[in-house]
Amino acid sequence: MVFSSLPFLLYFLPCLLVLYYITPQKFRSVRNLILLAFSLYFYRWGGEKFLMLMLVSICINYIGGLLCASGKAFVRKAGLIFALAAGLGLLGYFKYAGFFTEIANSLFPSVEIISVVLPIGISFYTFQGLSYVIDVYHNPSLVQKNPLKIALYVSLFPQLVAGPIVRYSDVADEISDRHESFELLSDGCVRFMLGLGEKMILANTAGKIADFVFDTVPQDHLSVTLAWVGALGYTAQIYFDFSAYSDMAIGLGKMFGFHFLENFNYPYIAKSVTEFWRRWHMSLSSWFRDYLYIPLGGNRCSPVRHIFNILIVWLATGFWHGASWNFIVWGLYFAILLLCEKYLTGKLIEKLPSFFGHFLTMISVIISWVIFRAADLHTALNHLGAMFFINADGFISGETIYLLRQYFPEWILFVVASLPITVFVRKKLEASESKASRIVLDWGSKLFALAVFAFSYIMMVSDSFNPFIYFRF
Amino acid sequence: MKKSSVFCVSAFLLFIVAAAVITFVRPKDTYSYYENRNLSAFPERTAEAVSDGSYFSAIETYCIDHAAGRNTILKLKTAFDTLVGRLVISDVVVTDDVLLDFKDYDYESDAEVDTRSEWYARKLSELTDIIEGYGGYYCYVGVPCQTNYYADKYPSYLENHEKRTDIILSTFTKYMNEYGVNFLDMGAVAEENGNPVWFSSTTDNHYSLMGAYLTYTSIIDKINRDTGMSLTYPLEEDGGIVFEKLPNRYLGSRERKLFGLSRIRDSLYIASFADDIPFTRYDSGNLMDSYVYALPPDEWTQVLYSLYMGGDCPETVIETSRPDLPDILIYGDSFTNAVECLAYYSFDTMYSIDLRHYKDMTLAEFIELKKPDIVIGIRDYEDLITPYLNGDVFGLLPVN
Repeated sequence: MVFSSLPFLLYFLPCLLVLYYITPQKFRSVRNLILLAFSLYFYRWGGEKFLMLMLVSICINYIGGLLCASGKAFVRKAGLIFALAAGLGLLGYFKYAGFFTEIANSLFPSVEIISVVLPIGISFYTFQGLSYVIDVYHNPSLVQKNPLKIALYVSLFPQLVAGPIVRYSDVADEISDRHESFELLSDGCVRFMLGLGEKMILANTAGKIADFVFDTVPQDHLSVTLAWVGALGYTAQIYFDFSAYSDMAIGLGKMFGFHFLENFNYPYIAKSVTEFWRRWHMSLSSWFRDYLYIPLGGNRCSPVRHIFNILIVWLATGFWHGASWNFIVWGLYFAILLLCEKYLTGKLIEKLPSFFGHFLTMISVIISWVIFRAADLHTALNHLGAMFFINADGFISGETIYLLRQYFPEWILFVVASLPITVFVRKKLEASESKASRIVLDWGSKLFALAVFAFSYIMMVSDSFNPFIYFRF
Repeated sequence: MKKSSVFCVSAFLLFIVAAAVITFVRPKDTYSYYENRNLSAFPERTAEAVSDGSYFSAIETYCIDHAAGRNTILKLKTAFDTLVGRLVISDVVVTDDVLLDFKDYDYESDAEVDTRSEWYARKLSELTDIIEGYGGYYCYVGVPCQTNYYADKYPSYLENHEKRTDIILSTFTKYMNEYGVNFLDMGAVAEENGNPVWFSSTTDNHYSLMGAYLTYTSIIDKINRDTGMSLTYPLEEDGGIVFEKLPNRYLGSRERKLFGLSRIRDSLYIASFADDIPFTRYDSGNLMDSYVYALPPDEWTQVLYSLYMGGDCPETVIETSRPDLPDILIYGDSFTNAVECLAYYSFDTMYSIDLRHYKDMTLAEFIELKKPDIVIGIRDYEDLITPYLNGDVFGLLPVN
């Protein structure tokens, strides 16, 4: 089920809210059971057979956590290894078996290619579950002996299928004891409605542009400008799609008393690639930082070792996104950019006007999204070539003008929504002490969210194009 | 609690609950008039569909199709798109005076078009052999659809398929000549007549009744030229046929997609003959009322192109009981409907087959069974060499 679908909005959410809030607050465990039951049903919507897999993953993390909390060192280590091997094993089979058997098949044709359907959200809930086991391994007092609470932590529907990746330590207290309030519910509604609007109005339109260029235009018909339009369309789609999902997840979390950490912070205003990754998919970046980069030695080591650590982390980041060479190259591309900034160009860029840093970062990021989006590396290279006048079919084509003209209002919105304008306005209003400012602060975002929500409903009913691209990760 | 928060939460919850209740209890339509498509039915629950998630996906589609206020919402969206100045709305290109079809950009190579043209011309020559084998006459008629007729109305950056149509026409004509298949290009005829504005509709994919009349008379002239027959047709200048404009609002297929919100208007015409030609009509073997125009009950009812012959029908037979005249079979797309309203004037029995719906036998088998004196295929330029459905005269290809 997706948040931007009518069954979720009209039936799932109201039923859950009613059942949840008619249960008195003192019956916390009953409220949790309701949330758990709805979360499992939410996941079952994507296919019953995948629900079993997630339940197995929950069991692995629960047992792994118990073992990691043992007083005996070898049991703890065994528990960690068990959870890592089983969790990553399941992820490896369902996500990567096809990829590896394809490689093996190209070398040894007798090897049969395995075709496995990717369960929705497996990368997210696997990493989330592992963070719990690893945290318990380092701090056994975090262990949760109630399996239902672990099940709720892993399966909690707002962040189940597309993040943000929530650490157990961040929500452990709230699972056991949280304080729902009307203000929090209102904040959650506003955040959810704005996220829904971001998805329906911005991400879906950007998706149409990107799909048009990447999926329907043959490579040898790409003009320079059309290749850029496609790349910019996908740059907008991936940000608004994922950021919208995170906003809706955070909003839904608030509706039920949870505080999930932010996942995006206007990444497209970054002045360096390093800063970009501090602003983009922050829950994944911090996961890799805390559970891979730092254990490998981080940057407190020799430059050679540091370079090795960076390469490993970004190889893993790329591979986490998907089983294809594109993602591996995409990860290594960022590793090289980050290493360049660290050891070669970082200081130089800092001395230049900030515009240059921003421009170079955006170009680097746009190139990365082409690698990410293209069907294969060959297509990615062709597309990038066309962007830079290599084998392009002219400079401008009818398709370019059509996509710019047809979606002109959205192109403006892409730029506006990528900038922290609302943050700026809010700060200005907060600084002002006038009554009008207070009224605008109090009512403005809510009325705006309701208007956006009404328009989102129109889009949901009138337009069948509604993909969620991060589901496949 | 802040008043603004109470208002916000209440409005949000009221909206979703009201929409849920209305969606759940409202009577479920099975057909969307403006979108001209069947709405999805509630899916059947099977273990496999639940397991792989397709059952739940189908429920999502069902909810969208039957959402509260759906038609109003679709109209609002169309109005909004018009307001923000989109040129393409619901796959309709909105220009100052014509509503056109949005065409996919064309990337087919000339060589591919050539191959398709040759293959299709060869198939039609095999059909011709069958017809000529019993002494019949065959002619394939290509008519420009609205997209082709108003190709110059498209903005330069949008695809109008003009280049591809030109290539198709030139290669196809060449192969039809090589294989000796009679071919009538109505685009060329319209051009000879100065490409009159009355030929094609401004809001629908089809030609007007006058365009159909020009097609009909051109077909008769060609038959007479090729066979030496002396078939007649009613002439407008002699008062043999009178065209009458209907006062009803004509909702062309493009305008229909825009929910009738376009300011561009067109009209439908009917024609009456000075000579009374009584006939008996059978649809798929069933005796029908003797009509060729499905007239609306009053002048306020909207009319569609399906006014002609009452819309698409798998098999229609019109018998005029004039055995001195030849029989004709007309097959093709909905472009045949307007021609059929006129063509029975010149024939004893007129058969009409729509292969999109007719499943009893292939066209070739039907021809061998009925042996009509004249067989006419009428297809628009967009489907001129498309071998599917109405182009699949031998039943060689699976549907779609």
